[in-house]
Amino acid sequence: MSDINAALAADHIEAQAAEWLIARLHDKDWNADKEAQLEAWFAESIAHEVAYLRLEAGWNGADRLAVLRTPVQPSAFRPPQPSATTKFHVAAVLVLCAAIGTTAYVTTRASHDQIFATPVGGRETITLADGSQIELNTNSEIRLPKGSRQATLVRGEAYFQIKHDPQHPFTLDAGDHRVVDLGTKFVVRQRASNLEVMLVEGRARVESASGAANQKSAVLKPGDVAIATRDDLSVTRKPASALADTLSWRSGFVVFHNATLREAASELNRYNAEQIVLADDGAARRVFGGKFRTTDSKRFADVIGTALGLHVEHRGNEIVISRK
Amino acid sequence: MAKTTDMDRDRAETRRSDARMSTPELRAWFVREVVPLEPILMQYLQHNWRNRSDIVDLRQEVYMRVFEAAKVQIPERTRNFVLTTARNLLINRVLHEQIVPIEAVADVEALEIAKDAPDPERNAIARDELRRLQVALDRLPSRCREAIVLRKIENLSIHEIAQRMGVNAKTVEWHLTNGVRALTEALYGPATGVRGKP
Repeated sequence: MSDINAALAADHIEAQAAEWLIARLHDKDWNADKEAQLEAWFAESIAHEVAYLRLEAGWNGADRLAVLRTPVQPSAFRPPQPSATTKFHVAAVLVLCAAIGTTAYVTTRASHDQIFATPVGGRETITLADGSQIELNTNSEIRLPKGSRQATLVRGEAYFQIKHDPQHPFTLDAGDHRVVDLGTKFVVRQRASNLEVMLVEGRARVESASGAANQKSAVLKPGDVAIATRDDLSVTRKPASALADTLSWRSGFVVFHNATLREAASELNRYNAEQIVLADDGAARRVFGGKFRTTDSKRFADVIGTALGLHVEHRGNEIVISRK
Repeated sequence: MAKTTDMDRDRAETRRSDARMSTPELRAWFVREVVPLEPILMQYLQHNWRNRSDIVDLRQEVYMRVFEAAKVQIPERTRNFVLTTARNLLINRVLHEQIVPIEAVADVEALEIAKDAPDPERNAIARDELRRLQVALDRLPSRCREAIVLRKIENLSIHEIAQRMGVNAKTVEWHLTNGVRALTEALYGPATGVRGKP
Protein backbone atom coordinates (compact mmCIF):
# COMPACT_ATOMS: atom_id res chain seq x y z
CA MET A 1 0.00 0.00 0.00
CA SER A 2 1.45 3.28 -1.04
CA ASP A 3 0.65 5.03 2.13
CA ILE A 4 2.39 8.17 3.26
CA ASN A 5 1.07 7.52 6.75
CA ALA A 6 2.73 4.14 6.87
CA ALA A 7 6.03 5.60 5.72
CA LEU A 8 5.79 8.42 8.24
CA ALA A 9 4.92 6.03 11.00
CA ALA A 10 7.87 3.80 10.14
CA ASP A 11 10.18 6.79 10.16
CA HIS A 12 8.81 7.93 13.49
CA ILE A 13 9.29 4.49 15.01
CA GLU A 14 12.84 4.29 13.73
CA ALA A 15 13.64 7.69 15.21
CA GLN A 16 12.29 6.58 18.59
CA ALA A 17 14.11 3.27 18.37
CA ALA A 18 17.39 5.08 17.67
CA GLU A 19 16.90 7.26 20.73
CA TRP A 20 16.19 4.25 22.92
CA LEU A 21 19.18 2.38 21.57
CA ILE A 22 21.69 5.16 22.07
CA ALA A 23 20.31 5.94 25.51
CA ARG A 24 20.39 2.31 26.56
CA LEU A 25 23.90 1.67 25.32
CA HIS A 26 25.55 4.93 26.18
CA ASP A 27 23.55 6.92 28.69
CA LYS A 28 25.25 6.73 32.05
CA ASP A 29 21.93 7.38 33.75
CA TRP A 30 20.35 4.26 32.28
CA ASN A 31 18.62 2.23 34.99
CA ALA A 32 16.11 -0.51 35.63
CA ASP A 33 13.30 1.98 35.48
CA LYS A 34 14.24 3.02 31.98
CA GLU A 35 14.77 -0.58 31.00
CA ALA A 36 11.19 -1.25 32.07
CA GLN A 37 10.00 1.71 30.01
CA LEU A 38 11.82 0.33 27.00
CA GLU A 39 10.23 -3.07 27.52
CA ALA A 40 6.85 -1.40 27.75
CA TRP A 41 7.56 0.33 24.46
CA PHE A 42 8.46 -3.02 22.91
CA ALA A 43 5.27 -4.51 24.29
CA GLU A 44 3.21 -1.87 22.46
CA SER A 45 4.12 -3.24 19.06
CA ILE A 46 6.47 -5.71 17.45
CA ALA A 47 7.19 -2.92 14.99
CA HIS A 48 8.97 -1.12 17.83
CA GLU A 49 10.98 -4.14 18.81
CA VAL A 50 12.18 -5.07 15.32
CA ALA A 51 13.05 -1.47 14.51
CA TYR A 52 15.20 -1.37 17.64
CA LEU A 53 16.87 -4.69 16.89
CA ARG A 54 17.61 -3.64 13.35
CA LEU A 55 19.40 -0.53 14.58
CA GLU A 56 21.21 -2.55 17.22
CA ALA A 57 22.56 -4.81 14.48
CA GLY A 58 23.62 -1.73 12.51
CA TRP A 59 25.29 -0.13 15.51
CA ASN A 60 27.21 -3.32 16.23
CA GLY A 61 28.08 -3.67 12.57
CA ALA A 62 29.50 -0.17 12.58
CA ASP A 63 32.21 -1.45 14.91
CA ARG A 64 33.96 -2.48 11.74
CA LEU A 65 34.94 1.15 11.48
CA ALA A 66 37.37 0.52 14.31
CA VAL A 67 39.85 -0.85 11.77
CA LEU A 68 40.28 2.73 10.69
CA ARG A 69 41.83 3.61 14.04
CA THR A 70 45.40 4.96 14.05
CA PRO A 71 47.92 5.26 12.58
CA VAL A 72 45.84 6.52 9.69
CA GLN A 73 43.66 9.01 11.44
CA PRO A 74 40.18 9.60 10.17
CA SER A 75 41.15 12.87 8.62
CA ALA A 76 39.75 11.45 5.42
CA PHE A 77 36.39 11.62 7.07
CA ARG A 78 36.64 15.25 7.85
CA PRO A 79 36.18 16.96 4.56
CA PRO A 80 37.10 20.61 4.38
CA GLN A 81 34.50 22.54 6.25
CA PRO A 82 32.72 25.28 4.41
CA SER A 83 34.67 28.32 5.41
CA ALA A 84 31.46 30.26 5.72
CA THR A 85 31.05 28.87 9.21
CA THR A 86 34.21 30.38 10.50
CA LYS A 87 34.47 33.51 8.42
CA PHE A 88 30.94 34.61 8.92
CA HIS A 89 31.11 37.33 11.51
CA VAL A 90 27.74 38.97 11.22
CA ALA A 91 25.94 37.89 14.33
CA ALA A 92 23.06 35.78 13.15
CA VAL A 93 21.08 36.45 16.27
CA LEU A 94 17.72 34.85 16.04
CA VAL A 95 14.69 36.75 17.03
CA LEU A 96 11.47 35.00 17.68
CA CYS A 97 8.64 36.92 16.21
CA ALA A 98 4.99 36.54 15.45
CA ALA A 99 4.17 33.26 17.06
CA ILE A 100 0.94 32.48 15.28
CA GLY A 101 -1.15 31.17 18.11
CA THR A 102 0.99 28.14 18.81
CA THR A 103 3.19 26.90 21.55
CA ALA A 104 6.43 26.54 19.69
CA TYR A 105 9.36 26.12 21.96
CA VAL A 106 12.92 27.25 21.76
CA THR A 107 15.77 25.52 23.42
CA THR A 108 19.46 26.11 23.38
CA ARG A 109 21.67 23.11 23.20
CA ALA A 110 25.10 23.72 24.62
CA SER A 111 26.19 27.06 23.26
CA HIS A 112 25.82 26.15 19.62
CA ASP A 113 22.44 25.31 18.30
CA GLN A 114 19.15 27.03 18.64
CA ILE A 115 16.25 24.74 18.11
CA PHE A 116 12.82 25.78 17.01
CA ALA A 117 10.02 23.28 16.94
CA THR A 118 6.30 23.28 16.40
CA PRO A 119 3.79 20.80 17.80
CA VAL A 120 1.19 19.02 15.69
CA GLY A 121 -1.08 21.71 14.30
CA GLY A 122 1.40 24.47 15.12
CA ARG A 123 3.05 27.10 12.96
CA GLU A 124 5.89 29.41 13.70
CA THR A 125 7.77 32.25 12.03
CA ILE A 126 11.42 32.80 12.84
CA THR A 127 13.16 35.97 11.77
CA LEU A 128 16.91 35.99 11.44
CA ALA A 129 19.08 38.99 12.16
CA ASP A 130 19.46 39.80 8.48
CA GLY A 131 15.70 39.85 8.00
CA SER A 132 15.50 36.38 6.48
CA GLN A 133 12.39 34.52 7.55
CA ILE A 134 11.67 30.88 8.17
CA GLU A 135 8.13 29.65 8.65
CA LEU A 136 7.75 26.25 10.25
CA ASN A 137 4.72 24.16 9.42
CA THR A 138 3.07 21.61 11.71
CA ASN A 139 5.21 19.14 13.66
CA SER A 140 8.50 20.49 12.38
CA GLU A 141 11.89 21.18 13.86
CA ILE A 142 14.84 23.22 12.70
CA ARG A 143 18.28 23.73 14.18
CA LEU A 144 20.15 26.95 13.70
CA PRO A 145 23.72 27.03 14.91
CA LYS A 146 24.57 30.41 16.35
CA GLY A 147 26.66 32.62 14.16
CA SER A 148 26.29 30.54 11.06
CA ARG A 149 24.06 30.35 8.04
CA GLN A 150 23.89 26.56 8.09
CA ALA A 151 20.52 25.33 9.27
CA THR A 152 19.24 21.79 9.62
CA LEU A 153 15.65 20.79 9.08
CA VAL A 154 15.31 17.92 11.51
CA ARG A 155 11.77 17.05 10.49
CA GLY A 156 8.69 18.45 8.87
CA GLU A 157 8.26 21.34 6.50
CA ALA A 158 9.35 24.95 6.34
CA TYR A 159 9.12 27.93 4.03
CA PHE A 160 12.26 30.02 3.64
CA GLN A 161 12.57 33.63 2.53
CA ILE A 162 16.27 34.19 2.59
CA LYS A 163 18.16 37.45 2.24
CA HIS A 164 20.87 36.53 -0.19
CA ASP A 165 24.50 37.02 0.68
CA PRO A 166 26.81 35.73 -2.07
CA GLN A 167 29.74 35.63 0.35
CA HIS A 168 27.87 33.56 2.91
CA PRO A 169 25.17 31.57 1.19
CA PHE A 170 22.50 30.19 3.46
CA THR A 171 22.50 26.39 3.47
CA LEU A 172 19.88 24.02 4.76
CA ASP A 173 20.66 20.40 5.52
CA ALA A 174 17.78 17.95 5.47
CA GLY A 175 18.38 14.24 5.55
CA ASP A 176 21.03 13.40 3.01
CA HIS A 177 20.67 16.64 1.14
CA ARG A 178 21.58 20.24 1.27
CA VAL A 179 19.83 23.23 -0.23
CA VAL A 180 22.07 26.16 -1.01
CA ASP A 181 20.37 29.50 -1.35
CA LEU A 182 21.18 31.57 -4.39
CA GLY A 183 18.70 34.35 -3.59
CA THR A 184 15.53 32.65 -2.75
CA LYS A 185 12.11 31.80 -1.49
CA PHE A 186 11.62 28.07 -1.21
CA VAL A 187 9.76 25.44 0.72
CA VAL A 188 11.26 22.21 2.00
CA ARG A 189 9.34 19.21 3.19
CA GLN A 190 11.03 16.21 4.70
CA ARG A 191 9.25 12.91 4.33
CA ALA A 192 10.24 9.47 5.47
CA SER A 193 11.38 8.42 2.04
CA ASN A 194 12.26 11.64 0.31
CA LEU A 195 12.87 15.32 0.53
CA GLU A 196 10.83 17.79 -1.49
CA VAL A 197 12.18 21.22 -2.32
CA MET A 198 9.93 23.62 -4.16
CA LEU A 199 11.32 26.89 -5.44
CA VAL A 200 9.00 29.88 -5.31
CA GLU A 201 11.32 32.72 -6.23
CA GLY A 202 14.98 33.21 -7.11
CA ARG A 203 17.33 30.28 -7.36
CA ALA A 204 18.64 27.52 -5.11
CA ARG A 205 20.80 24.49 -5.51
CA VAL A 206 19.99 21.06 -4.13
CA GLU A 207 22.91 18.74 -3.55
CA SER A 208 24.06 15.87 -1.44
CA ALA A 209 24.82 17.01 2.11
CA SER A 210 28.34 15.63 1.96
CA GLY A 211 29.04 17.95 -0.96
CA ALA A 212 31.02 15.20 -2.66
CA ALA A 213 31.86 16.04 -6.24
CA ASN A 214 30.38 12.87 -7.64
CA GLN A 215 26.95 13.51 -6.19
CA LYS A 216 24.03 14.75 -8.19
CA SER A 217 22.93 18.31 -7.77
CA ALA A 218 20.39 20.56 -9.45
CA VAL A 219 19.83 24.29 -9.64
CA LEU A 220 16.16 25.11 -9.24
CA LYS A 221 14.22 27.87 -10.95
CA PRO A 222 10.85 29.18 -9.79
CA GLY A 223 8.21 26.49 -10.15
CA ASP A 224 10.73 23.68 -9.99
CA VAL A 225 10.07 20.91 -7.52
CA ALA A 226 12.99 18.68 -6.65
CA ILE A 227 12.34 15.26 -5.16
CA ALA A 228 15.48 13.91 -3.58
CA THR A 229 15.88 10.41 -2.25
CA ARG A 230 19.15 9.14 -0.96
CA ASP A 231 20.29 8.13 -4.41
CA ASP A 232 18.23 10.06 -6.86
CA LEU A 233 17.31 13.59 -7.59
CA SER A 234 14.52 14.44 -9.97
CA VAL A 235 13.06 17.81 -10.87
CA THR A 236 9.54 18.50 -12.11
CA ARG A 237 7.65 21.74 -12.58
CA LYS A 238 4.48 23.04 -11.02
CA PRO A 239 2.29 25.81 -12.40
CA ALA A 240 2.06 29.00 -10.33
CA SER A 241 -1.42 28.14 -9.06
CA ALA A 242 -0.19 24.81 -7.72
CA LEU A 243 2.68 26.57 -5.96
CA ALA A 244 0.22 28.82 -4.18
CA ASP A 245 -1.90 25.85 -3.18
CA THR A 246 1.10 24.05 -1.78
CA LEU A 247 1.88 27.07 0.35
CA SER A 248 -1.63 27.63 1.63
CA TRP A 249 -0.62 26.08 4.98
CA ARG A 250 1.06 29.41 5.66
CA SER A 251 -2.38 30.89 6.10
CA GLY A 252 -3.78 27.82 7.81
CA PHE A 253 -5.38 26.06 4.88
CA VAL A 254 -4.87 23.02 2.76
CA VAL A 255 -6.08 22.85 -0.84
CA PHE A 256 -6.91 19.72 -2.81
CA HIS A 257 -7.53 19.22 -6.51
CA ASN A 258 -8.54 15.79 -7.69
CA ALA A 259 -7.10 14.30 -4.56
CA THR A 260 -8.10 10.91 -3.26
CA LEU A 261 -9.57 10.86 0.19
CA ARG A 262 -6.56 8.79 1.23
CA GLU A 263 -4.16 11.54 0.20
CA ALA A 264 -6.28 14.25 1.74
CA ALA A 265 -6.74 12.43 5.03
CA SER A 266 -3.04 11.78 5.28
CA GLU A 267 -2.37 15.48 4.73
CA LEU A 268 -4.97 16.57 7.29
CA ASN A 269 -3.60 14.08 9.80
CA ARG A 270 -0.28 15.90 9.79
CA TYR A 271 -1.96 18.80 11.52
CA ASN A 272 -4.21 17.12 14.03
CA ALA A 273 -4.00 14.85 17.01
CA GLU A 274 -7.48 13.70 16.05
CA GLN A 275 -6.74 11.32 13.19
CA ILE A 276 -8.94 10.56 10.23
CA VAL A 277 -9.14 6.84 9.61
CA LEU A 278 -10.46 5.41 6.37
CA ALA A 279 -12.26 2.19 7.08
CA ASP A 280 -12.29 0.83 3.55
CA ASP A 281 -10.66 1.29 0.19
CA GLY A 282 -13.93 2.28 -1.38
CA ALA A 283 -13.95 5.43 0.73
CA ALA A 284 -10.20 5.96 0.45
CA ARG A 285 -10.30 6.09 -3.33
CA ARG A 286 -12.99 8.73 -3.64
CA VAL A 287 -11.69 11.78 -5.46
CA PHE A 288 -12.62 15.35 -4.65
CA GLY A 289 -11.31 18.90 -4.34
CA GLY A 290 -11.65 21.80 -1.95
CA LYS A 291 -10.06 24.14 0.55
CA PHE A 292 -10.05 23.25 4.22
CA ARG A 293 -8.76 24.57 7.49
CA THR A 294 -5.72 22.50 8.47
CA THR A 295 -6.64 22.18 12.11
CA ASP A 296 -10.30 21.28 11.86
CA SER A 297 -10.46 17.61 10.90
CA LYS A 298 -13.96 17.35 12.35
CA ARG A 299 -15.31 19.89 9.95
CA PHE A 300 -13.36 18.35 7.08
CA ALA A 301 -14.87 14.95 7.82
CA ASP A 302 -18.39 16.33 8.04
CA VAL A 303 -18.09 18.18 4.74
CA ILE A 304 -16.62 15.14 3.03
CA GLY A 305 -19.25 12.89 4.52
CA THR A 306 -22.05 15.05 3.18
CA ALA A 307 -20.46 15.75 -0.19
CA LEU A 308 -19.43 12.21 -0.98
CA GLY A 309 -22.22 10.43 0.83
CA LEU A 310 -19.91 8.67 3.25
CA HIS A 311 -20.49 7.57 6.81
CA VAL A 312 -18.62 9.56 9.45
CA GLU A 313 -18.19 8.32 12.98
CA HIS A 314 -16.34 9.99 15.84
CA ARG A 315 -14.57 7.49 18.08
CA GLY A 316 -12.43 9.02 20.75
CA ASN A 317 -9.41 10.47 19.06
CA GLU A 318 -10.34 9.09 15.67
CA ILE A 319 -12.79 10.04 12.99
CA VAL A 320 -13.69 6.96 11.00
CA ILE A 321 -14.95 7.47 7.46
CA SER A 322 -16.51 4.55 5.61
CA ARG A 323 -18.98 3.70 2.91
CA LYS A 324 -22.56 3.63 4.07
CA MET B 1 32.99 2.27 27.53
CA ALA B 2 32.48 -1.11 26.00
CA LYS B 3 31.62 -1.47 22.39
CA THR B 4 30.47 -4.83 21.03
CA THR B 5 29.91 -5.95 24.54
CA ASP B 6 27.19 -3.37 24.88
CA MET B 7 24.70 -5.80 23.45
CA ASP B 8 25.82 -8.44 25.87
CA ARG B 9 24.92 -6.37 28.81
CA ASP B 10 22.32 -8.14 30.86
CA ARG B 11 18.85 -7.18 29.95
CA ALA B 12 16.13 -6.93 32.52
CA GLU B 13 13.61 -9.52 31.60
CA THR B 14 10.28 -8.01 32.29
CA ARG B 15 8.61 -10.31 29.82
CA ARG B 16 8.00 -13.93 30.30
CA SER B 17 10.55 -16.04 28.50
CA ASP B 18 9.36 -18.43 25.89
CA ALA B 19 9.94 -22.04 26.73
CA ARG B 20 11.82 -22.52 23.52
CA MET B 21 13.97 -19.48 23.57
CA SER B 22 14.25 -16.61 26.00
CA THR B 23 13.47 -13.12 24.88
CA PRO B 24 17.12 -12.00 25.00
CA GLU B 25 18.09 -15.07 22.98
CA LEU B 26 15.37 -14.39 20.47
CA ARG B 27 16.47 -10.79 20.11
CA ALA B 28 20.11 -11.78 19.81
CA TRP B 29 19.14 -14.26 17.11
CA PHE B 30 17.28 -11.56 15.23
CA VAL B 31 20.21 -9.16 15.43
CA ARG B 32 22.72 -11.82 14.47
CA GLU B 33 20.83 -13.81 11.83
CA VAL B 34 17.99 -11.80 10.38
CA VAL B 35 19.05 -8.19 10.02
CA PRO B 36 22.30 -9.00 8.17
CA LEU B 37 20.13 -10.57 5.47
CA GLU B 38 18.61 -7.21 4.77
CA PRO B 39 20.51 -6.55 1.52
CA ILE B 40 19.15 -9.81 0.13
CA LEU B 41 15.66 -9.05 1.39
CA MET B 42 15.72 -5.55 -0.06
CA GLN B 43 17.01 -6.84 -3.37
CA TYR B 44 14.16 -9.30 -3.45
CA LEU B 45 11.53 -6.70 -2.56
CA GLN B 46 12.82 -4.18 -5.05
CA HIS B 47 12.99 -6.75 -7.77
CA ASN B 48 9.43 -7.86 -7.24
CA TRP B 49 7.59 -4.75 -6.19
CA ARG B 50 7.51 -1.74 -8.42
CA ASN B 51 6.31 0.87 -6.04
CA ARG B 52 9.52 1.96 -4.33
CA SER B 53 7.75 3.99 -1.70
CA ASP B 54 6.30 0.76 -0.28
CA ILE B 55 9.60 -1.00 0.21
CA VAL B 56 10.45 0.22 3.70
CA ASP B 57 6.94 -0.57 4.85
CA LEU B 58 7.19 -4.05 3.34
CA ARG B 59 10.56 -4.66 4.98
CA GLN B 60 9.13 -3.72 8.35
CA GLU B 61 6.18 -6.02 7.80
CA VAL B 62 8.49 -8.92 6.92
CA TYR B 63 10.54 -8.32 10.06
CA MET B 64 7.45 -8.25 12.21
CA ARG B 65 6.17 -11.50 10.76
CA VAL B 66 9.54 -13.20 11.06
CA PHE B 67 9.97 -12.07 14.65
CA GLU B 68 6.46 -13.14 15.57
CA ALA B 69 6.95 -16.56 14.00
CA ALA B 70 10.32 -17.03 15.66
CA LYS B 71 8.74 -16.58 19.07
CA VAL B 72 7.09 -19.93 18.49
CA GLN B 73 9.93 -21.58 16.70
CA ILE B 74 13.25 -20.42 15.36
CA PRO B 75 13.42 -21.40 11.71
CA GLU B 76 16.27 -23.64 10.74
CA ARG B 77 17.19 -21.82 7.60
CA THR B 78 16.85 -18.15 8.27
CA ARG B 79 17.42 -16.94 4.73
CA ASN B 80 14.75 -19.15 3.23
CA PHE B 81 12.36 -18.27 5.96
CA VAL B 82 12.83 -14.53 5.52
CA LEU B 83 12.44 -14.70 1.76
CA THR B 84 9.43 -16.98 1.94
CA THR B 85 7.82 -14.59 4.37
CA ALA B 86 8.49 -11.75 1.95
CA ARG B 87 7.02 -13.70 -0.92
CA ASN B 88 3.86 -14.55 0.98
CA LEU B 89 3.47 -10.94 1.98
CA LEU B 90 3.73 -9.72 -1.62
CA ILE B 91 1.26 -12.27 -2.88
CA ASN B 92 -1.09 -11.38 -0.09
CA ARG B 93 -0.92 -7.73 -1.03
CA VAL B 94 -1.60 -8.40 -4.67
CA LEU B 95 -4.55 -10.62 -3.95
CA HIS B 96 -6.21 -8.72 -1.17
CA GLU B 97 -5.57 -5.08 -1.73
CA GLN B 98 -7.52 -3.65 -4.54
CA ILE B 99 -5.62 -0.44 -4.51
CA VAL B 100 -2.46 -2.18 -5.60
CA PRO B 101 -2.25 -1.75 -9.34
CA ILE B 102 -1.84 -5.09 -10.95
CA GLU B 103 1.44 -4.06 -12.50
CA ALA B 104 2.89 -3.47 -9.05
CA VAL B 105 4.22 -6.97 -8.97
CA ALA B 106 6.23 -8.14 -11.91
CA ASP B 107 4.70 -11.57 -11.95
CA VAL B 108 3.28 -13.50 -9.05
CA GLU B 109 4.55 -16.74 -10.52
CA ALA B 110 7.99 -15.26 -10.78
CA LEU B 111 8.08 -14.71 -7.05
CA GLU B 112 9.50 -18.16 -6.57
CA ILE B 113 12.69 -18.24 -4.60
CA ALA B 114 15.70 -20.27 -5.52
CA LYS B 115 15.54 -21.98 -2.19
CA ASP B 116 18.71 -23.96 -2.17
CA ALA B 117 20.83 -21.78 -4.33
CA PRO B 118 24.11 -20.85 -2.72
CA ASP B 119 24.51 -17.32 -1.60
CA PRO B 120 27.43 -15.87 -3.50
CA GLU B 121 26.25 -12.35 -2.84
CA ARG B 122 26.59 -12.84 0.89
CA ASN B 123 30.39 -12.84 0.88
CA ALA B 124 30.48 -9.91 -1.44
CA ILE B 125 28.21 -8.07 0.96
CA ALA B 126 30.46 -8.82 3.90
CA ARG B 127 33.50 -7.53 2.05
CA ASP B 128 31.52 -4.53 1.06
CA GLU B 129 30.51 -3.53 4.55
CA LEU B 130 33.47 -1.37 5.42
CA ARG B 131 33.22 0.48 2.16
CA ARG B 132 29.51 1.05 2.70
CA LEU B 133 30.18 2.38 6.17
CA GLN B 134 32.88 4.70 4.91
CA VAL B 135 30.62 6.12 2.24
CA ALA B 136 27.84 6.61 4.78
CA LEU B 137 30.23 8.29 7.18
CA ASP B 138 31.36 10.63 4.46
CA ARG B 139 27.80 11.66 3.83
CA LEU B 140 26.88 12.48 7.40
CA PRO B 141 26.60 16.12 8.44
CA SER B 142 29.99 17.13 9.83
CA ARG B 143 29.11 17.27 13.55
CA CYS B 144 27.30 13.97 13.39
CA ARG B 145 30.25 12.42 11.59
CA GLU B 146 32.62 13.77 14.20
CA ALA B 147 30.60 12.19 17.00
CA ILE B 148 30.47 8.84 15.21
CA VAL B 149 34.20 8.87 14.48
CA LEU B 150 34.99 9.64 18.11
CA ARG B 151 32.69 6.86 19.30
CA LYS B 152 33.28 4.11 16.79
CA ILE B 153 36.84 4.75 15.67
CA GLU B 154 38.43 6.43 18.64
CA ASN B 155 36.22 4.59 21.12
CA LEU B 156 35.57 7.57 23.38
CA SER B 157 32.71 7.68 25.87
CA ILE B 158 29.80 10.05 25.48
CA HIS B 159 31.29 12.22 28.18
CA GLU B 160 34.66 12.39 26.44
CA ILE B 161 33.06 13.09 23.10
CA ALA B 162 31.02 15.89 24.63
CA GLN B 163 34.15 17.49 26.04
CA ARG B 164 36.04 17.08 22.81
CA MET B 165 33.24 18.62 20.76
CA GLY B 166 32.40 21.31 23.29
CA VAL B 167 28.75 20.29 23.55
CA ASN B 168 26.68 18.53 26.16
CA ALA B 169 26.03 14.80 26.38
CA LYS B 170 22.47 15.13 25.09
CA THR B 171 23.73 16.70 21.90
CA VAL B 172 26.23 13.88 21.43
CA GLU B 173 23.43 11.37 21.90
CA TRP B 174 21.38 13.23 19.36
CA HIS B 175 24.20 13.01 16.82
CA LEU B 176 24.68 9.31 17.52
CA THR B 177 20.95 8.75 17.17
CA ASN B 178 21.05 10.18 13.68
CA GLY B 179 24.27 8.39 12.95
CA VAL B 180 23.03 4.94 13.88
CA ARG B 181 20.12 5.28 11.48
CA ALA B 182 22.32 6.34 8.58
CA LEU B 183 24.93 3.68 9.25
CA THR B 184 22.33 0.93 9.57
CA GLU B 185 20.79 2.00 6.31
CA ALA B 186 24.21 1.97 4.66
CA LEU B 187 25.10 -1.40 6.08
CA TYR B 188 21.90 -3.26 5.38
CA GLY B 189 20.00 -1.14 2.93
CA PRO B 190 19.89 -1.94 -0.77
CA ALA B 191 23.23 -2.25 -2.49
CA THR B 192 22.31 0.66 -4.72
CA GLY B 193 22.46 2.81 -1.63
CA VAL B 194 26.19 3.22 -1.95
CA ARG B 195 26.66 3.73 -5.61
CA GLY B 196 28.44 6.80 -6.82
CA LYS B 197 31.74 5.89 -5.24
CA PRO B 198 34.56 5.35 -7.70
